[in-house]
Amino acid sequence: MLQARFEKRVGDFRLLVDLSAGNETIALLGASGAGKTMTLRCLAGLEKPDRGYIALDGHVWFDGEKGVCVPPQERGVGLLFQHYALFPNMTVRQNLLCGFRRDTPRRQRSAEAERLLERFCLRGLEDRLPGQLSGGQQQRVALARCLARKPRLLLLDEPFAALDAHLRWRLEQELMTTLTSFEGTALYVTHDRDEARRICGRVCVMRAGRTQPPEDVEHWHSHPATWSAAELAGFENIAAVSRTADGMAALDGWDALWPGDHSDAAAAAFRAEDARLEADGGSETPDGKDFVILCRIIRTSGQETICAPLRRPECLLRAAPDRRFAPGDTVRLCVAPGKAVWLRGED
Amino acid sequence: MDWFPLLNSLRVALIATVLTFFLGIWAANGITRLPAWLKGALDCVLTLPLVLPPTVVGFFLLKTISPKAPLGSFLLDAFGWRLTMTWYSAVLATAIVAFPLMYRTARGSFEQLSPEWEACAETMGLTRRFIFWRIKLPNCKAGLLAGTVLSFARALGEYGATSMVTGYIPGRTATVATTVYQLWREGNDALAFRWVLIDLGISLVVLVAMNLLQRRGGAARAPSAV
Repeated sequence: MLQARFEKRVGDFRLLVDLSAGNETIALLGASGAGKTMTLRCLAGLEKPDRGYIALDGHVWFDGEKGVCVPPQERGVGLLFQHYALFPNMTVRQNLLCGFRRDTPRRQRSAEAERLLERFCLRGLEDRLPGQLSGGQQQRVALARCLARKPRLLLLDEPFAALDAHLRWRLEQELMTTLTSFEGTALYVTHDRDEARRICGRVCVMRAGRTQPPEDVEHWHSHPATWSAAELAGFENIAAVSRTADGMAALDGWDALWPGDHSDAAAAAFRAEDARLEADGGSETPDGKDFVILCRIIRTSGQETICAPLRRPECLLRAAPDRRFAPGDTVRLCVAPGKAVWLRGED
Repeated sequence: MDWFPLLNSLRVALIATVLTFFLGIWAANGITRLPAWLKGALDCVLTLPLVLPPTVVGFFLLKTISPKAPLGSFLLDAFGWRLTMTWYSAVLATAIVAFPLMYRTARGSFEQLSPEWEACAETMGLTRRFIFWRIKLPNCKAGLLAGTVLSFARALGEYGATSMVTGYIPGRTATVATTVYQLWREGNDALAFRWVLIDLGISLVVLVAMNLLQRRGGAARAPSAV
């Protein structure tokens, strides 16, 4: 059980973390510069917060009021760095041996190192230097080294950022197997929402140095609460609600009027995959079932269709791919009301 | 031919290099943990001998350790150490002049190390001593060796500070550098030429050694520098 509530200032940047997690894998999701890595460094003890409280399983690591700050050496955290931080002058085996707790007897260390070599498919590589390993092998060594000291808190800092795309999928499967058997809290830092969705059960979104309350990753993905959450969750189309009256919401950005009582909404959003295109029948609200925007196609591809509202040609919308239409065609972009998300104002 | 100047030069340069090796690495490693303003100030002081004319270094030294200066007279009275006009006073002068070369190359090597290694080692519970000896030092071996060779070369070629602090006493304080000057003043060009050739030979060996070290070091570091 991790409990962290702390604050740290670095120049103009203010980090404000409020996060608690049980024995689970929780994603720390945010754009670069949101303070994710700084959060990890504070948890690991490499940075000292200005004030606040950090505890794991009841052991207090940091308490600003009581002046407690346990050094990183004594926290027993497993921190997997983005670039793995393997010691280049040591072989794979020597790197692993460094990972054990200081009080582990020598014989036990080497026996467990052998087990780790086996478990992480590093047999045959044990006498190589990190420079002679592929990116994926380096990651396995680094992960094995992290787990050697049996940490109760595992911090993973964008473990796939340094790898080629084709390597990621397999390594991701391996990592997920490892995480499933891991007994403790794993904090997975990423800026990739799909990665977070595949690997983590809950997500804690970070924006401009602040953590948002953790929520179920699927719920977050389908029901973001705010504009920035919708952006992070991958909603391609977002527009502000300018006014609501007579059961209609006006979306000025798209020059559209959508029915429904949304007086408390600040913006509306929908995903490209949920935007269906239909040949223009002339009217904008024919059957009253879908939300409709009258558009002109700008560009088509196998991935998506780009179109612009007729009266707002400067605004680009992204819709599902549809090879029936060509650039210049006028179409009706339809979104089922259930697929549109109404967002409240930022906190 | 009297080989004393060569032996004395080598003796002085070797001892001075050993001194600067340890002091330079110690200073370079220690300075990284200081607050920025202190770091800047100390860095200036430690690099000063590199930009000052060696005669100025010699002048400062004479004003502190000569038997007429307070510290020098104290050392002479209390321990019988006479730090001027002896061969070991050249060690002191040479070490000070060569120090910045070792210090700066060592600092450059330390700064090139990935800060992640140290941070990672700390989270793994490794001690500061282990981190320094087993992670930092081995990974800047090439830079430290280059700094050592550079300091040795500088120590071997030191003239200004040495001549002021040790003078020229044949068979006692004469080095190759001071001998060449003395021989030229006496008009003994033939002998001066022989010493010049010897000095050229040594310098060439040192430079080639340094290039080899750097090339090998560069190749070894490239793949691991993430």
